Amino acid sequence: MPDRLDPRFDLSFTLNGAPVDTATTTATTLADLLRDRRDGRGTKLACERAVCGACTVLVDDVPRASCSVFAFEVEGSAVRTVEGLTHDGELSSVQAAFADNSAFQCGFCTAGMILLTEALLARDPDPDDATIRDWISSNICRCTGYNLILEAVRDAARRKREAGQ
Amino acid sequence: MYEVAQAGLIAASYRDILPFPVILPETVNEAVAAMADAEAPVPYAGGTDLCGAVREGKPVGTLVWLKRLDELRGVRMEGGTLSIGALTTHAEGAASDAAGAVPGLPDAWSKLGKIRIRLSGTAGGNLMARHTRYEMSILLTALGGAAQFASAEGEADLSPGEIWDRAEPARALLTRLSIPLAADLRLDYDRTLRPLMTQALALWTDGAGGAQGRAVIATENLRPVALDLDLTGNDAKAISAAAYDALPDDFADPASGNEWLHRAGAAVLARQLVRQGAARA
Repeated sequence: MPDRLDPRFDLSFTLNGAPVDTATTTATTLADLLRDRRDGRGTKLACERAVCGACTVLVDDVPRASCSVFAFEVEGSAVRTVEGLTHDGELSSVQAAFADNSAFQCGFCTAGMILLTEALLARDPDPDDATIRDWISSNICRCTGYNLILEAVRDAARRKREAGQ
Repeated sequence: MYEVAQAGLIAASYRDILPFPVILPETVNEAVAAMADAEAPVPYAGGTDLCGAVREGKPVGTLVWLKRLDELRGVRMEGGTLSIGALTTHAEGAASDAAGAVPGLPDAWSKLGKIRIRLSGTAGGNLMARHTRYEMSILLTALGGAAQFASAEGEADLSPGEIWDRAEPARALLTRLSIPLAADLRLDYDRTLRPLMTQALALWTDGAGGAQGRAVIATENLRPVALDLDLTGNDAKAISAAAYDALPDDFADPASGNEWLHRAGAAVLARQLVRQGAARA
């Protein structure tokens, strides 16, 4: 990355493993880039203040609220969104655990919750309930279905361990 | 003195932000030069607050992105001082061995924000956001800490209170936070009544071997206020009551008036003193 970016510049990063090269502006948020330019509508926008976490994506495996991350920040980084979790039409362990445990009602928070769970389990494959609650409390489920989400994270951890992931 | 912060002007959307140039300095000196020379510079680190701040009217002429300033990351001992780089994330700080030089600090630090914020939000950003609900100022005030700024005019040390007063030099860059390590310095941080009130208690031993203490109370809407403790007498309730006699009468939050904060703060302080073994119940 150069020492200075002009208001309009060319951005390069990987999105779900695929290289992306695109012209954008410094004021463009990552959420807008993903949704409007990359057709990434799985990334939801709600509070737009980095509070609710519906827009959570993984930037170099760190969960970030993409509504409050400027797109230029991901230059050279690996970005993962919920669209990148499914392979050949098969849900990931975390996605399957959320589906099987009915860990959603309206579903608006689900993508962010799933990516948060992916980040948690990458760091701690066997988290205790206190750790799960600490992580999940980063994001808001306005349907308040937290117990089912908690059970889904436990289940996802179990599935990943059993699959050796 | 303790006026409740007024809501700012809210833009319709962060999409109203006009594009701006971004400078990526490699060193602190380059960052200081960029702050001095750029048009309406805004330093940018963890990125937790800027979009929201812009919606509330903060102008951005040039963004000085501090990502490459590794010299401002991490916690280390410098003689008798705990030195915290301004770009240290909350997660890094809470996990650092050096922060353990102040018992209670890693645990308190680990409670700042949710994990998504702790992984990217920085100590310096928390302080400079000047949000009353943010907590680094509370901890730093209790521990008698200071903040170091660098600018084209030189370096300056400010207390947390001076930061609230925006007393830093123009176009200055926060570089480090420092906590002088008094003998037996330790911290007790109580968030059980949050958001109504939060209280930090620092205890240490002075050069003459005397026990010293400072309590800092804050609320969602009021900047922190420090209360010096007289620990003679060893009666937690009496010490707390005496300390709270100094609480300003105008320290009153819309959610909890001065009288409630006075009573609740004193009760929490008594509990903290007992928990730390500084007084008996």
